[in-house]
Amino acid sequence: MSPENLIERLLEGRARPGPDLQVHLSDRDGPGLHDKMRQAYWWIANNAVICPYYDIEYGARSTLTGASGDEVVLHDSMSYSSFVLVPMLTLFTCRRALLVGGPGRGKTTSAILMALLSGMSRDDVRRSIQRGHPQLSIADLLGSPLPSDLLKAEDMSAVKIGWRKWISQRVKIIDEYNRIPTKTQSALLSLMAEGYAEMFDQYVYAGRSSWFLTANDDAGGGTFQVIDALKDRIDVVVRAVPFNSGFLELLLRRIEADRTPEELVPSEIVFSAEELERIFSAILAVEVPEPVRERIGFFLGQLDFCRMASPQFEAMSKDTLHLSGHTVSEVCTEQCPLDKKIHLCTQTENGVSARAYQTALHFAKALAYFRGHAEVEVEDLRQIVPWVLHEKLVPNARSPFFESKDSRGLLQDRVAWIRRMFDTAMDQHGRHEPVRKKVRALREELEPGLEGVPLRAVEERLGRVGKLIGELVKKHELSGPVYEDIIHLKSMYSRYQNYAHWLKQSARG
Amino acid sequence: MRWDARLWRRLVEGPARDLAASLRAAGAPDARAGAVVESYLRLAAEGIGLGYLHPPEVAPGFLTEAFFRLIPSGLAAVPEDARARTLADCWNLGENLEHAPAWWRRMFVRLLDGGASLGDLAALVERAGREAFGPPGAALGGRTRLDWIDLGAEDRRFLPGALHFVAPTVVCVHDRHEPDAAVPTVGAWLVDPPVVLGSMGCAETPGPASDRLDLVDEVGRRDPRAADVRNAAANEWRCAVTLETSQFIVVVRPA
Repeated sequence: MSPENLIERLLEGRARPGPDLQVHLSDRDGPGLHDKMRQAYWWIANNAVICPYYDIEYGARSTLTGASGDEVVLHDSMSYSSFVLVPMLTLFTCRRALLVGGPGRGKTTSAILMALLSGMSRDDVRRSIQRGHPQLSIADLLGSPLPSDLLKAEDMSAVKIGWRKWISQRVKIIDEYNRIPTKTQSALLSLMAEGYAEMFDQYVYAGRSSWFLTANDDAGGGTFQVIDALKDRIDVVVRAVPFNSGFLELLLRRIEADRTPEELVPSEIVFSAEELERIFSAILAVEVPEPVRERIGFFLGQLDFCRMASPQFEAMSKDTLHLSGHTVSEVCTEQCPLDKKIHLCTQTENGVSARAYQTALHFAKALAYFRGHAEVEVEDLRQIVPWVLHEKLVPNARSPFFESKDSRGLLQDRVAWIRRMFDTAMDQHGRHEPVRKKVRALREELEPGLEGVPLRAVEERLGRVGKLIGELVKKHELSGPVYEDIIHLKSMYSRYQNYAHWLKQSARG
Repeated sequence: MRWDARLWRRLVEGPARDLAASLRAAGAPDARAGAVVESYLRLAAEGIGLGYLHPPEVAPGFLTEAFFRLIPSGLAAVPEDARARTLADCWNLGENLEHAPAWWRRMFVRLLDGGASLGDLAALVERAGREAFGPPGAALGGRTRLDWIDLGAEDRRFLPGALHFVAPTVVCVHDRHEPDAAVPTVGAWLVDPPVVLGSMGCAETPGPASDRLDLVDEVGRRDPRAADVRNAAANEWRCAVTLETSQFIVVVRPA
C-alpha cells in the first residue's frame, strides 16, 4: 500500500468540520449498523417487553434432568428472546410475521415497537393499525372514491380513489386478522402477496414493507376462517410468551410511572429509512456457505417424499397424494417398509415449498447479520427454521412416530417438533454424506454447462451418472435423501441424454 | 458495550478542562472555544459509547492518547480556523484504526510517542505509510546490525515458528505449536528501535523459509547464541530468524 493511499483511507471518515466551527458526525454504517440493531434489541428486551426466557440459544449445551425425566438445557453463549428478535428480523427483512398467543401478552405492543423503530411517530402508528372486526369492508381497509367523483366521472380514470395512508407505510400492522371477513381478506391478500391493490382500475402499491399480523384466540368468538392463500403468505410465526411472576415488581413500577414503553423509545435506536435500506442490502450480502446449504437442503428436501404416494418414481411426493384428495396418514402405515422412528417423511403431511426455502434462508441471513457474522452458520438455521415453518409444516398426527410418550408431546409444540426433526436430520447427514458427495461431484462437473463438450465425454459422463443411479437404487434403502439424490441424478441424466441426442443429430445433419 | 460513567467524568474533569483552559490562554474568543470544546466532548462521548476510549493506564490506544493527552495539550497550538478540521481528522484516523488490524494501532501509538504533532496528522500518516508500508532507505548488502527482539514479553507462552513479511519492515511470526490451526501470531516493526506490534490476527500460511542462507549464516557468525536457526524470512531490506530454543527473534538490518 502506498503512503498516499494510506492517507486517503485513514483520514476520511464520519467526522467533518462544519461552518459553525463544530465537528459533525454522520451516522455509523457498515459494522455500526448491527451494533445499533443489538442496541435496539437489548433496549426492548430490558425495558419494553418482559421476556421470562430466551429461547434462541447458542453455545455448548448442558442438560439438567429431573427424576421424572424433565429437562432444563443451559447454554454457554449468547441467547435471545424469539418474541423480541423475530419481529426485529421481520422488520429488517421486509417480511411478514404473525404474532400468536393469548390476549394481553404483548402481541400488539411488539408490533407497535417495530413501527416506532422504523421511525413512525406514535400518533401515526396508532392511526395506521388496521383492526380486524366482522364489519370491516374493503373500502374501510383500502380506501374509497369520493362520491362526488363517482357522480361526475364519465370515465373510470376520472374517479380518484382516496387510498388509506397505512398502505404506503414502511410497517403495516393488522390486528386480529382472523376477525376480518373472508371477502375483505381477499383484498388484503392481494396487497400482501402482490404488493398492490386495485380499485376502479386504479392501483396503489405497498412498497417495500414489513407486516405484523396478530391473531385473536379462536375461542373468543367473532373469528373467520383464514383463507389458505393468506396463511401461506405469512413468512414467520412469533409466539407470545407467558408472564413470569418473578417480574411482578417491574410491572408495578410501570403502572406507578404511568408511562408505557412505547412512550419511552430512545431516538438512538430509531432507524432512518436509509439505515433500514442499508441493513436490508447488508443482510442479502451475508453468505450461506455450501456446507450450510447442503444441510438445510438435506433436512427440508426429504420432507416432501412419500414412498406410498405413487408407483411412478417421479411422483412419490406428498403433493401427489393431496392432489388426489388423500393424506399421508392414510398411506403411511406398516405397508411402507421405512422405519417410522428414523425417517422424517412420516412426521409431516406436507413438504416445503420453494418460497419457504427462500424465507428460511433470508431469515437465517438476517440472524447471522444481527449476530455480527458475515456467514450463516448451521446453528442460525437451527434456531430460525422452527419459526419459519411453524404454520407451514403440518404434522401427520397419526404417524407411528408420535405414538411414543416422548414424541407425543411434540404434537403440541411445533417449535420443539421442528427443531427435533432438524437435529435428527443433522445426525443423519453425516451418514449420508459419502453418497451425497458423489452426487455433488457429478453436479459440479455439469454446472459449467455442456457447450463444447464432445460426444464421447458426454457419453462417458452419462455412464457415470447411470452407474451411480444404479448403485443408489440397488444398494440403498429408498428414503427421502436417497430419493432426492436419484431425482437429481436423473435430471442430470436427462440433460446429458438430450445433449448427446442433439450432438448426434447435428453430426448427421 | 456499556457507558463508562467513570471514564466520562474523568475526561470531563481532566482533559476537557485542560483543553478549555489552553484555548482560553491562546486567546480564543469564548464562542469559538466553546464550539471546539463541545465538539471534543461529543466526539469523546461517542468514543466512550463505542468502546474506543479507555483509561490510558489500562489500554493505550490511538484515540485514548489523542483525547487524553494530545488534543488537550496540543489543539490550542493549531491555528484557530484549522482546529475543527484537526479534531475531525483525529477522530477519523482513530475510528479507522479501530477497524484496522490491531498492529496498525500500536504503530501509530509508537509514532505519537515519538513526538508527532497534532497539527499535522497527514504527516503522521504519511510517515507511518512510509516507514511501515514503503521501502526503507537502505537495502541489505553493506554493513549490518543485529537486533534481538523478545516476543515472549508479549505472550509468555509464545514459541516463534514460521515467519513472513507483511510489509517491507513488518514481520509476522507464527507460533510453532499448531501449524495447521489458527495459530497465535505476534508482529514486529523492524525500525530503530524495533517495536513489538502484538497480535497480528494473521490467517495466512507462511511460505517456505528464505533461501538467503548467507544472511542466516551471518546471524550465527555474529552471535553464537543465534546459531540454532529454526526458520528465516528475508526481503531486500530485512532478514529475521526464529531460533529453536528461544522466544527471541533475531533481525538483520542495515547499520
